[in-house]
Amino acid sequence: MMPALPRPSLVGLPVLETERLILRAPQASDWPVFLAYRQSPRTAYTGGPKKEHEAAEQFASFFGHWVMRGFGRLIAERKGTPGPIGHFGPMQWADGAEVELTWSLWAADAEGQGLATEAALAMHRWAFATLGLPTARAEVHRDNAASHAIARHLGGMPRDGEVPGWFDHGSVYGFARPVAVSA
Amino acid sequence: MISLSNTPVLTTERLVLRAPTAADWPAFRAFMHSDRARFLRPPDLDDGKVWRAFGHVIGMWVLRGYGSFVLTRAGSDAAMGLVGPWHPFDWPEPEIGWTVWDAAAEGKGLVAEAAIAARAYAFDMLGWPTAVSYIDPDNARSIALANRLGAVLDPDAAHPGTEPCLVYRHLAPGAGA
Repeated sequence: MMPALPRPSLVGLPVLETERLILRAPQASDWPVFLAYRQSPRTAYTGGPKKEHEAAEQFASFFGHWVMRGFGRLIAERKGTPGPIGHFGPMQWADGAEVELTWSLWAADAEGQGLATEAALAMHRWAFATLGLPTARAEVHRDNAASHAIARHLGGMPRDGEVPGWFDHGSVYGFARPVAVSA
Repeated sequence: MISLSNTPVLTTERLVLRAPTAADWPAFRAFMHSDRARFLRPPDLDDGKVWRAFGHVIGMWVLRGYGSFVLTRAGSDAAMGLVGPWHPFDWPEPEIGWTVWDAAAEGKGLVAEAAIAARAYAFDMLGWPTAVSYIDPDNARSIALANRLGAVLDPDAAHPGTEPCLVYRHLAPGAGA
């Protein structure tokens, strides 16, 4: 019988609360849900579907990003309904690059209720309030109407002449630092 | 400060093995872009892929509950390499891996000392009955280390990725062959 080892996890992450959602640290139990999402046609606008090892490297790097950058993506859950429904958070892929705001709803049954917008607003407010960002960006696929709506709802302005790095056709939105931010 | 919690620290006579931290990133990046990584670097490597690779190393600690240890000298926290339990989701079985980032760690038996400690952790604490090490046939130093650790070639074992690849097998004490 092996001794029961304590399970490694991320510590020090914030928990954001909105009217209907909790945004909390990613955890190992989120992986099967993320994998199912990443292998589904729902990821057509974000470079998917992916093979299992690609999804695993991406999800593992959620944790690595928090450790290396001190910020990263949070996982949204509905209050009273356990289980992850998506990820929301700032991402800085390259050292020194402009921070990218990301949002992805994993669960189809969570669509159409404004939940992604609610989570993205909380994430946007938190990112600007705590990270001292001068600006941020988001990349949205040309055909991803729901995501364009979120970008505009967060005050994003399309940037002429900038093209997304993650896919061939789409828009780059710029976000200015809000005039007054508070945590 | 964000960090991994509940990760073990292994100590040997000359070494401390610990989970990766943000401070290790520049050394990992320099290693992956250097000739020292020639046996494991994909041909299309860029900074983004190196970034994700290190994030993968960190994240596997959470997803698997164990991961690769950063190799440091006792008394210095500078990262010299990675050793230990490693099992990406699409690999056929768990590995005891090693990468030596710092040439100064070579030639002193330090990597063997680290690998023995990490392997003992996998066998004794994680309960692995066996493990493998995947090695490029041209990587003579790594083959020499596998031999020194008592691992034996397993020509029938599956391996991930592209040919050519040798599979060296480690058996836990008392485990059946």
